[in-house]
Amino acid sequence: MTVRNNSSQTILWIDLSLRKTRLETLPSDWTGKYLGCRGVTARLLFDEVPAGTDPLGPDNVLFFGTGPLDGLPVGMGRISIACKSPRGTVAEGSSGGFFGPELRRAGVDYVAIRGQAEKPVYLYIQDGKVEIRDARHLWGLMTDEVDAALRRELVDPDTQFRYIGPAAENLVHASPIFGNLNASGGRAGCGQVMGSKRLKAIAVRGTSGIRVADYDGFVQAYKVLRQRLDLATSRDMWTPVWSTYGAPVLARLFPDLGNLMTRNAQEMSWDYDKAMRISSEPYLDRYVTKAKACWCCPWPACQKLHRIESGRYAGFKGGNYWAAQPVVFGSLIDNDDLELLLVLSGLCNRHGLDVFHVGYTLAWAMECFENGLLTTADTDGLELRFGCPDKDGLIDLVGKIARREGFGNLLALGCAEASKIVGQGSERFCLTVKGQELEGIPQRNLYMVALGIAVSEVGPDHTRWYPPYPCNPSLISKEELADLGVDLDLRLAFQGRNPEQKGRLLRWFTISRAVVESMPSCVFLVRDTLGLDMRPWWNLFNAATGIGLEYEAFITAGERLMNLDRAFNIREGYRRADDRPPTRMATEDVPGFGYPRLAPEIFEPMLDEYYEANGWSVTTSIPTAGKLQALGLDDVIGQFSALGIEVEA
Amino acid sequence: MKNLELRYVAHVTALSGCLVESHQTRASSIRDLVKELDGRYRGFQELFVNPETGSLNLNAMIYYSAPNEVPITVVDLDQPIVDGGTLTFW
Amino acid sequence: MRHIYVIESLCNGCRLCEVFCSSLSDGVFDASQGRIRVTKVPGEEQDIPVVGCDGRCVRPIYEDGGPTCVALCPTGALIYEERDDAAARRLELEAARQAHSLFKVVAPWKWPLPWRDGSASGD
Repeated sequence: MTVRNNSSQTILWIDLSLRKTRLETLPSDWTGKYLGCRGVTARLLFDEVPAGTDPLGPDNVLFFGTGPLDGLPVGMGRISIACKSPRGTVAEGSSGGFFGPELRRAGVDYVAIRGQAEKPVYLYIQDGKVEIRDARHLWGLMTDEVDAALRRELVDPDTQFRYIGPAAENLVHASPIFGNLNASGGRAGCGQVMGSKRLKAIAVRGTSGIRVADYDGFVQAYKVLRQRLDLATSRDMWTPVWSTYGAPVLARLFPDLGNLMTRNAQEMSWDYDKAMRISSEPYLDRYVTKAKACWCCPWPACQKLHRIESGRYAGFKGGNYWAAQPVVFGSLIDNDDLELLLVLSGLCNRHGLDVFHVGYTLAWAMECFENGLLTTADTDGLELRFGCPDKDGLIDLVGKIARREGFGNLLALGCAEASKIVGQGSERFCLTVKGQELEGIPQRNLYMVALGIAVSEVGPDHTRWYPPYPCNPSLISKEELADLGVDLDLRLAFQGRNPEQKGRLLRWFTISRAVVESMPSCVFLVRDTLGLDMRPWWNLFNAATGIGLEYEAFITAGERLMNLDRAFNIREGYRRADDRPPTRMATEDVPGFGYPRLAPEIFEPMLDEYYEANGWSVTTSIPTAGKLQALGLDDVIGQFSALGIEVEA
Repeated sequence: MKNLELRYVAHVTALSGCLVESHQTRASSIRDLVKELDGRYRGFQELFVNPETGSLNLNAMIYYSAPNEVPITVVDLDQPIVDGGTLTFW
Repeated sequence: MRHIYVIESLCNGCRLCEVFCSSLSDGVFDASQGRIRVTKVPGEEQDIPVVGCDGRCVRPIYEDGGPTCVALCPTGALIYEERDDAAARRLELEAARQAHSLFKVVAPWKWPLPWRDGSASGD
């Protein structure tokens, strides 16, 4: 039995055009500088994909990354998936499940895929060796079908997979990469890139054990983390709810606060009776069959499996009804039929579609339809209205989007591109930033969220700063916070509609969450004091790797990757003007609540504060030379100079 | 007498047995209301109130709104309640 | 004599039990070396822990000395009981499930907050 450690990291390079592979070890100082996972994929992406690379061509590189904590009981199975997005930005996403630990057990920490296969292939990685196998028999299969087919073909039940569905094969906008049936990641563009390489799946089986540098220290640190998160001891109001009933209760918590996007966010409140029908309680009562979890999660039931036993959709099975769907297939399209919601959601998973893309593009199309900008002549005869009068038509439409058929072909572009084609002012109904659809958290009531969505280098991605709330102030004193290097007036920072301190708060949140995603672990478990006091994470990382990182250096690794992401986008031409809220949020007040629009008077000073706090140019958002040097990113300064990009001192 | 709408979310329904109900009370504060509800749903007080400090438990939350107002997150259990108010317990 | 009993319907497949167990003797995390293994049925629809030990950890991580896997299981799918008590637990779970769907995903003995069970709750 082989045993591996957590201080050195390996990368498996695969060129699908040349059909060549090689396994290398990453430079030994990378673990200290970038940690792993998202930190390393950020570095690799910047290094390997130069400006102007065609995202859907052979020179784009698709990275899958684990990290030193994957395969240990705190990594939660997280992986980072990264490439250049077809939209032009960084595309980075993560998912959980069981793939990451297996990859590490196979002696591979990162997989980097360039080139394009002539015919569909899949990769089969076993203990450091990889085969490029024919996948023509798998091409076209839905995600659940390819999962089952690979399982039959490769036999060993411990084999883990990541795969794309037909949507990514057809290069549909925002298609993610799936695994363990319902775990998905990379909606920022990774699925399309995988499809462009004709790579249907990656299979991995590993047999190595993983040794930590300091086992007793690791166990001690684990107990601290577990105490912060365990149902019995967690001092966080979200722990009991999120870990059992789950996120769809937000349907009942958001409307009265003006936080629930309704009818394409024309309103931010919904009929409470409708909200109750799609909340977690009826879901758990009628449809849940069992709890599911990612690798070693300390919570009982973040995920669940469900089955519709009777009625119109009898026999339909699926899983992971979570935070997205009560919005995107509920209030956003004014649907209170929970079964229809579960079917739309499950079909997206099977076709390999992004639920945010589908939900927001449908809502955009509904608003267009109701304003006469689209007619039944455009929609293949479908009455596309809020309230979903034609449920069967909607269900069919999901498949058409994945197959790019008929009206589905327009929607497959995503609403930003679709609104360019439809014109007639339909852009104002488009809820996107940098060409990517929103997620579920409101902006005009939570200014840090608005800022976070606007500045995110990948497009809207709440995981970059999630959770957006503090711990109870009694848990951590001002002095402790100062010791921990968190320089914030928390009281001001957490007033939702007070612009003060939001830039500095976002800076802390994005850096700390970047650190968590680089270990890796799961940002959904940033609860109790774990979002402000990073020491439990730090102790785990040091005990696992043995590299003895100072606390400040641990945090700085997160800032380093944030600057690499920003630098990638800068190289592609993105600037301050691209960091802005969607038009609706910037121009319309929230009706009925009076929360004002995110006008420039509110938004721009927050953006100034964010850039200043980060050491980035207030005019361009380009990191200053001083900041890059402080982070040891002198090579970025060099590249910018060579490309004629102006860097302030 | 005050008429209130009470909403129970997630695991709180395992105490209340229902999602929503109308409730008539003479309680003047949330603290008193919780104590009153404890009489009907034994354990309600334990769910929400820290016996040592008398504050809201760190792993619980209550929203309160007066009629036609946006809810506040309850920090102080001595928050007064008015006729027509709505409370969400989770 | 107490044994580790498994209530399959509560297992969410997280594998904490097998991963930590595997490390107790030599500090190496390797689920295949654990004395508890979670069998996963294709399609992710069932997760079945299979116990291969007497409940005495070579080096339990918690001071009370009880089996590490039982202590760590987030849902309560693993119990360490005498046979008759184990049987009683199953009935307890069934009754709780009839009353509240919460107990589809977590065991009443793992749920730390009060709930209405028809008798004294949260005591």
